[in-house]
Amino acid sequence: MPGKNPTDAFYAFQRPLQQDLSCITRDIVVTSPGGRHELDSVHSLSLAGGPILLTAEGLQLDMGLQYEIIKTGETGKMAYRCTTRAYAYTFLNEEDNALYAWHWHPFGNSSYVEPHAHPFSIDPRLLPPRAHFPTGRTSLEEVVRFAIDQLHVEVLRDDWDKVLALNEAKFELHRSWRDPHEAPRPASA
Amino acid sequence: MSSKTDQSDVVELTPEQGRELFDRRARKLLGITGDEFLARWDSGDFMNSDDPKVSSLAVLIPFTR
Repeated sequence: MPGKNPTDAFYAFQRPLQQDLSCITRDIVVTSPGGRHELDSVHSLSLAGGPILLTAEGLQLDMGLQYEIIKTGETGKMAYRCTTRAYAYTFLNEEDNALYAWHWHPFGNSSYVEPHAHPFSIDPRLLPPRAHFPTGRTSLEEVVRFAIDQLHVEVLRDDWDKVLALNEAKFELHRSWRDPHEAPRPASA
Repeated sequence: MSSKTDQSDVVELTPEQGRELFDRRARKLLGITGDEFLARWDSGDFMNSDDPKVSSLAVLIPFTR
């Protein structure tokens, strides 16, 4: 999402994510030191209180993502933007065991650098629990919508569908890649 | 760290708060301290790791450095 300065770009990036989360939690996101304005270094966003409790049965959602504020080469309101460098969205049970996760982490130590999913609850005798299932790029909007539509997580705002649709459209408009083969590799991340 | 409901709010952690967050998550995810994780990460212990917990924690490294 673009902005006229680094801080504007940060808020244009962060605000939709916070709105997405507000559909299912009252928790807020926190950013790493310097994450609202520092250019050309990788920052993190995560949840202030750690994984959020979504259901009475103990379903939780954890999220973390890395981003960088960069110059776009444009001027004015388009001069800066945030670009995602990695993400991890994970559903957990009440014992904090991961159930399902969407990951993309193309940094140096990764064995698998394309976006993928981990369906942890699949029978480990048949499929290795650490197997990477290829996916396209996954947005937080998709994860929140999945939680509401498929996991029947209680919504906290009446306009959740509109909020997610609008933010998803913004995400699609400004994202620089979608398909796995377009994803930045470690050398360019 | 208190939760707030203001949808535009965001908290930028101080370096100390960032280290605390990372340490808590390291202990919860892997049962080690944040410092131990970073030392092992830097030494290449997790090179080519396919452990999703390592990846989830590594995404948060900017909170601590």
